[in-house]
Amino acid sequence: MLLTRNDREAPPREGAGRGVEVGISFPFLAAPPAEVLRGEAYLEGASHALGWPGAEALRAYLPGVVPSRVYVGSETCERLLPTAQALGSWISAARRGRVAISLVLPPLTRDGLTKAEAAVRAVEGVNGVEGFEVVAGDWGTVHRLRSRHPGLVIVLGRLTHKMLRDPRLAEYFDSPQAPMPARAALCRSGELAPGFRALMERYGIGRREVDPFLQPLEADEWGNRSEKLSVHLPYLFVTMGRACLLGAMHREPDGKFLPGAPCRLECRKHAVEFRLPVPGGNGAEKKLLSLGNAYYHAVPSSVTGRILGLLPSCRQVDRIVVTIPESQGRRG
Amino acid sequence: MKLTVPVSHPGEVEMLAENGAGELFCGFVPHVWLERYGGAFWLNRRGPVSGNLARWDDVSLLAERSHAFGIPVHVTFNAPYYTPEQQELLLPVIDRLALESMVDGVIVSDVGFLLALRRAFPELSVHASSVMATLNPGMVDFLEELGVRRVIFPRSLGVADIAALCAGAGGRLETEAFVMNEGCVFEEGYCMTTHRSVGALCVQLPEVPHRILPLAGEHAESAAGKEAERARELMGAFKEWVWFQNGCGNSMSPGGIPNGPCGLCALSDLARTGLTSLKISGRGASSYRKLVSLQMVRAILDLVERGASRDEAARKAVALRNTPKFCEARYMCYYREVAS
Repeated sequence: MLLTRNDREAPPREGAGRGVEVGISFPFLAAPPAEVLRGEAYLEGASHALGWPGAEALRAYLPGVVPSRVYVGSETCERLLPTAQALGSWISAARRGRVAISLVLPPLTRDGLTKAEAAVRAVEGVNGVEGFEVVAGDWGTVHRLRSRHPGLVIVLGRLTHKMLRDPRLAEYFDSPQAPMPARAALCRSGELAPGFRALMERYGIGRREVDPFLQPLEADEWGNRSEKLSVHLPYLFVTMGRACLLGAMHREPDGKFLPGAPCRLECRKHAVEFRLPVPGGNGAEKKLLSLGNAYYHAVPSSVTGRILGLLPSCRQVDRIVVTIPESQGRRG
Repeated sequence: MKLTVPVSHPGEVEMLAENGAGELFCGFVPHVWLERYGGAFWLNRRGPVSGNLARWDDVSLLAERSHAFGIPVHVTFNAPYYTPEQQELLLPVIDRLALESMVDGVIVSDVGFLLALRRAFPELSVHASSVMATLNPGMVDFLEELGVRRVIFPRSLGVADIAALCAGAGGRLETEAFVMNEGCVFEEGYCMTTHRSVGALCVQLPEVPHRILPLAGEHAESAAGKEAERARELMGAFKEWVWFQNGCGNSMSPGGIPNGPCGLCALSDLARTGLTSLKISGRGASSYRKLVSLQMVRAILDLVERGASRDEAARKAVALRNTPKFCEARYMCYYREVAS
């Protein structure tokens, strides 16, 4: 069920949300804002926090929509994995607000996998949890969780969606000057190939997350799938390292940039914005945002418009995930 | 432990074999791929020309010469993904490489393509590239179920994690880790950028304008005040780290020793992890760089295998490099947590 401000049980595609569920992600919060867990935060308020030009288009497309799902955890850093106890308490709070929880997992090390399993076991121990899902960032995690938790809903996170996302070049491949086969290849993934389809079936994956790609995806990539799609806005994932730029801030020189090294969670306080020159762009720049140990690019309004324009005809895409990097919760 | 060494020409085989290579890996870009994709879509992790073979005869000759030394050859098909059309193009290429050129196997990154390969050629040896980012025991199990023979660990794993994953592999899978050359600032398996045309993003980042942003109102003041100096220091250190990871501005030192990521002084620790193989990377490097890298690793590994103490082997490694300031900086180390 889609939650809206005026009709909290509007069925998908008939209510104010046009059948598109909205999830909201707070990767750097110690705890999701209480008002969001209570189902009282509106998309308008949340997306204002982004200062992102495409937010207006999103608000216009989904007027009055209340996020019906909260994403907890980071897709790139296992130090931000919530404890089993914290997750349990958020689930209890979210249940009262009829908000579902997605536990987001980064590519996990062996220690991270142990912690993630503990969190999943904690959720399984809570009765009546509806809509809980785990967003996995690597196939090892998918394999382990599926083999040990057969009933768990596992979503493939966008980091497993292998495609070019380089903001310096992605649009170039949309140019008619690029060789046609290369253009086609860079606007699609390998996920419609039989091998990948077989894996999706073997592991019972019913949903995958995708990025707001700068290059327009081939129509098949959106529609010709058995699984549902969640599309992220406004940040395009570009790259990540296990050695964290911001996490090195308070380390001694020989302890900086060590993969998985301790940190002071500097990611909750700061980001770094880089301005990348566009090749042949006569001084034009593209911004790259270092958030924690990952790098993102906020897509322009045109990309948001293209994705929103696709939604009415592509029923596979039934969820938008909006990331709020700010570490303070905002009231709706 | 075997040493797995890059090769990019049949003429390099004898030199590498005589100096202790246990296995070879190479890249092959057939004409049909170049014709279709030009340089826009790389078939493997190197550009279409650098470090890749282009002629079928060369691959056959390379394999023949390697086999004469009892050395297996694997070919890299480790682009992060291949579209369905590309997979259809590549399967017959791999079939021919195995049947006519007699290569021993392939190195892959795309999990769907891996499944297609196993179905088409169940007997072919398949190594899971470091681009698959095997970080946890679930991934080892996953790859074993899919019929992979060897897992190549990513560069970001430390010795303790490698040892634990090797133990988890428990002889079901062979294992390999990096020991020399070619760093990656990011986690290679999750880096969605391209080095094509615009170069490596990581090399570019320290040179472009940037600013530290507060993510919350209460931190705005601290970002502009007392932490501003820390931020400046951070970006200076970042620039230095990226420089070391990318070969210190020159892939060879004045003394003819390869610059760039190195795990030589950690060889004693690596030898105890249960690894099957150590990888020297750099298919695109000169024959000289390949040879010297191999000789250096072979020399220290021989020392370790003859029973040298950990300290003795590490001291020898640092002496062999003969760039003590680079070693002291520690930003060039693959395994900094155990580096001496």
